[in-house]
Amino acid sequence: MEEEKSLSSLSDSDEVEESQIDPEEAKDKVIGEPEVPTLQPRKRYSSFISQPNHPEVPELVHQKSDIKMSKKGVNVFVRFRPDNATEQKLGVQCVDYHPDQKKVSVSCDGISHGFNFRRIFPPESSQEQIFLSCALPLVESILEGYNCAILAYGQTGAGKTYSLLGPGYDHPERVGKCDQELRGVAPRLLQSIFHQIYSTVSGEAVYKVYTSYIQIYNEKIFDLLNPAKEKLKVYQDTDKGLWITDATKVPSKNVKEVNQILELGTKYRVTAATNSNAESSRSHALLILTITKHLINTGTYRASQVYMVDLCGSERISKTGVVEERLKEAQNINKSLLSLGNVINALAEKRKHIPYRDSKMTRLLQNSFGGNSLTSLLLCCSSNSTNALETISTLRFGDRANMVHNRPVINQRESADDLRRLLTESNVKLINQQKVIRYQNERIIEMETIIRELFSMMGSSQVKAVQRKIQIPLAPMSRNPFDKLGVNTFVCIFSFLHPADVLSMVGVCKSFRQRLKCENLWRYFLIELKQGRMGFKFIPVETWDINFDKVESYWEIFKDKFIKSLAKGMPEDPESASRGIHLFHNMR
Amino acid sequence: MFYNFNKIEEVKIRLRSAEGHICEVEESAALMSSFIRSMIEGFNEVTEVSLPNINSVVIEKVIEYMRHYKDKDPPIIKKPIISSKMEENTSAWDAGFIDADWNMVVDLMTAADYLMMIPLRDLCCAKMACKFKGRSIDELRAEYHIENEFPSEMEENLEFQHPWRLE
Repeated sequence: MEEEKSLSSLSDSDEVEESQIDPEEAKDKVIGEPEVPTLQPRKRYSSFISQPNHPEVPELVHQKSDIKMSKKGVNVFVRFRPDNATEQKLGVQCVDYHPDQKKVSVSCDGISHGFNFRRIFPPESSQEQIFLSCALPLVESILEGYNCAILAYGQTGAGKTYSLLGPGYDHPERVGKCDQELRGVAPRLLQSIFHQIYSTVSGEAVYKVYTSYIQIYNEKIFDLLNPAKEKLKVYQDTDKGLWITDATKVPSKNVKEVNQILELGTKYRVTAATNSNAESSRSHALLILTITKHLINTGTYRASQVYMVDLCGSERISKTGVVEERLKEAQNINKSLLSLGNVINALAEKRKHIPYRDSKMTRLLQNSFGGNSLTSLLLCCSSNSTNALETISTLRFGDRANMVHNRPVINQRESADDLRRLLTESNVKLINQQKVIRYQNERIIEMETIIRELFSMMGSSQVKAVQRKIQIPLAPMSRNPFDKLGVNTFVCIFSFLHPADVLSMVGVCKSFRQRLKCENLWRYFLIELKQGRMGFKFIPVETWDINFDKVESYWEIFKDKFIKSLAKGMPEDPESASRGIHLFHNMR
Repeated sequence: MFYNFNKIEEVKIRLRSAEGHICEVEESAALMSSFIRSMIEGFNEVTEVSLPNINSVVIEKVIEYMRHYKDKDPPIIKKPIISSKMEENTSAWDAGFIDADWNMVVDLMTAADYLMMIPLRDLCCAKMACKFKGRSIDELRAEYHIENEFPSEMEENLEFQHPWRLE
């Protein structure tokens, strides 16, 4: 809906904002493309990403995903890794793959556990296949303004970093030097996002991309792009939402830059880990990409955030046999993973309180689970029987994550112009509706009068038949027995009475009052009074000077004269006046 | 035309009621109704008049009135009526004829209005007027189950505007 709106407005509105130059954007232009001469007026608004056919556009073969992402929940994928040498000796394959690529069963101690996910990847799957299924469908949503998250979860050494970033990202000297074919999901996704931006960009939209890279180590947040910084803090505000203080936000204009950032940060992460003598990544790493899209014509702002999260591996302390420092790390890792599990459980059970604040990681990932983000969760598992228990617990985590419901929304901020246009539109709509309502009301009143007249002409049996047929209780008909009578007959009845009696009966009910104002009746009464065929005892009718040719309303005249006569008579002789009134009912 | 003219004397008008029941009445009597008269004069061949909004009981009553006043004029009721008793306002036969319950009078009045029989309508109206005569508003409301549609505030206002309501 919102998308359509902005699109239509995009085509409708003129180039009103030509003369306005945003200083921020002018600055961006200088930063981004100082060498490009401004040939067309539109180019003035160009941000650092605005020019089609930019030399940085990566050459991409047309990619197509075979999976449609569910927008409601967390999309869970599972990847099994091939066995290593020791596992081949010690264990056997314990995973059965269902041919539909959605079901999998893991046997452990003779018991088979079945699971159902969006897609299962057997060990022989390529990196590209993973990317096409898990991440590619998100690209469009990201650029539409949806928040997205890709998380890798699994046991230690199950291939999370390999899948998300690629091989070599766990050794400082080999980072970023792997074969292009073996790149992980994150570099491929970055490439796709930039490719999409460059191939769709025109003068009408300005994109900006910012990159941040942080890690959570021992429940402390560190900036991987500025290692000198102390630990970062997380704040929550009802207006701004969640933000991390002092985290570096690097504006990036092409995929190379982001990749450099990614490599730099990963090197630091790995080095830190290596210094503390760890073999595997002992921290959660979050690559946060903030993309803003500014539609020049409408002034609409859209922003989306992409989280690429490499969670650290869950491990059993007894199995890895860690001590002291490692033990503390392991406890923290397990604690944060446990709290993530708790969050997922609470969401899956639709509990009221979700324990997001239990750990730093769940706080940062608040949006991805139960928030407004499109999430794909990549579970990494071993298919060997020696790791069957961990595999099953990982799959169970994914199973619960399957039940989490998210509500993705486009992050959009309407400009003043947008809002003004919407206001005008709705005002016009409102006025039109009011017109229609007024017209309809008039019609209804008309029809009611006609129907009443028609019913007064029809016999009661027919009225009943109609009531049976249209199933509408015609209540007013039955309530007041005089409503059945046509106006003519009704007035005819009262022509047999004295005007004083008729005047007193005006107050019986609304329909009496309405019908008794009939002009013919009062005209008749006036003529009769003038000719002396009937009269009021205390009111000298003969003195009423009425020119019948000029009378507008006989009823008004009658009322007027009557009250005036009464008022005149009363002060002189109040007794007679009161008697006079009293006498109206006992005149004859 | 001549053929029809010869036949007119014997013609009986068939009145079809709401239930589809047919009542026959002599044409000379039926001509009392301006409605039937216009039907017959407008279309020569017509001998049957459909009255889909009048039931047969009322039609019988109307025919009774038609036959009684076939050769003479009905008495004119003086306006305004002088008494709440029908016998004092009109002839004895009329008073007896119209001495029926409220629904019957209303149906008869509607039928007379439809058939355009002014004397019969006047008779019915006079009968109704008798029922109203000398009654207060509250009595009328109670008798015909009319609820007081005017809020008390409005009632005061009404009394101010229409002081004749005070007793």
